[in-house]
Amino acid sequence: MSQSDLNKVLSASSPIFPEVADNREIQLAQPGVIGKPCSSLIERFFGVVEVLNRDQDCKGPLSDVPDCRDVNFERFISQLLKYGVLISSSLVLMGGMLYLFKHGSEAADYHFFHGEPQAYRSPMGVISAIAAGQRRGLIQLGLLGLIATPILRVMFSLFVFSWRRDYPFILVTGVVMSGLLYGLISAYFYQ
Amino acid sequence: MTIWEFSLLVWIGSFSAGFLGALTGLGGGVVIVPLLTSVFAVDIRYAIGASLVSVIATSLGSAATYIQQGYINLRLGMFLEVATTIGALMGAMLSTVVSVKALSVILAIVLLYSAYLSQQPSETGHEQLSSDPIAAQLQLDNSYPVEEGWISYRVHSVALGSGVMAIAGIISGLCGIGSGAFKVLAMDQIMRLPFKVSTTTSNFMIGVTAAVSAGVYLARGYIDPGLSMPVMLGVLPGAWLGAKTMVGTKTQLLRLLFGLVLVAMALKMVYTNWIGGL
Repeated sequence: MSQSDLNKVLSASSPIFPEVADNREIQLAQPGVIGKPCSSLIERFFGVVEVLNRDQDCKGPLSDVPDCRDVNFERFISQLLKYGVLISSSLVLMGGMLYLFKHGSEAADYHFFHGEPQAYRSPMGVISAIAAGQRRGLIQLGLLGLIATPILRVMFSLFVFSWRRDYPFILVTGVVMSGLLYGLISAYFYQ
Repeated sequence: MTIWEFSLLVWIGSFSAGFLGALTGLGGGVVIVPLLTSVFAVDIRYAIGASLVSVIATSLGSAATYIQQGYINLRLGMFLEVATTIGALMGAMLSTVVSVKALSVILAIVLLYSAYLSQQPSETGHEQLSSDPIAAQLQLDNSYPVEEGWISYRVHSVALGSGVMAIAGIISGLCGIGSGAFKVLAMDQIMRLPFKVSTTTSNFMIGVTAAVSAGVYLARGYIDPGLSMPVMLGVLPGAWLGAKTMVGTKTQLLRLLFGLVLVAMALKMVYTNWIGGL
């Protein structure tokens, strides 16, 4: 967007509240003017621990809408996902190399579906397979780590929302969490 | 073919799929299943298992970056995950009932639709209507970064968007793909979010959607370590490289090429599963 466009929008925008400021193209405020400090009820009453509570970083010199980014929460989730994928894929790479060096010259056969042996179908099975020296067990452990990372993310979010007494989102993450658990548990008994 | 050769070829194929998928914004998962079934003659169930795992990997990797850049709307993503989770559970359950032949047809339709969507220009500039009351209640409205700073946006039609998300979840659970095309459709077209916010938030959600069905598929023995390993290790760096290249690349021709590849693979897959033989 060019500066003239910016000015046009700015002159049309009311600097008051978002309720009044509806029906406009893009809501912009004067560059350099920091957005209003954001104080939802939740933040007013439960501002205790750093990561667990919403950071007061109301981004955007361009925005006149009180818009608080949940900076600490975002940072934590981002790190969780990053390390989850890094650790899991290193496990897969390690297990994969070991597996290729041992079984690499055998014939590949994925044309017909046999289903995996029981050992590779559950977390406990995978752990006992690794204990028995199965190299593919290590790959499967990495894959389990990948599946576990988004689950951990939901668990952590549920914890944070509970701490903040953000009831709608306790419900939201709770339902997602039960969906994930239901999938895992029902699949476990399905065998 | 020995396992060495097979793994290497699958790795190269997956790397290219991840690269092109990220470059065109469709995601590598869309091509992995037809690639494995039609080119490598892998059973569709193993292919779905390997694809799901690689979809989770790329979703986590790119979401980590996009969260820090401020594109992803975490609250909205988490809210919509309710719909995709329920959908994915239904899809994974359905996949036991649906035959392999029917599955290949469903996937082919999804592929063709994705190819069609990839040809649509992504519109920019969404008008600010009044916010959906549900969105206001749940504080779903947010802002995203542009060159000049941060722009606020409103979330619209939360209920209808959730409905399309549930369908995206069913397709994801049934076909072992991220179904990012449908998620973007719901957010970009129906909920009227900025395009970049739609694609990145869709990416963030795909991890959970795929994890729901991955648990089911794991227990059923669809996830093979020997096959998933080269697929995942290929798609992940491919997608990473594709996302890096995307900035400032002219993608019009690439989109067209990728769309044609999708159509060809969809037809090949249906042909293989219905008439048989390679």
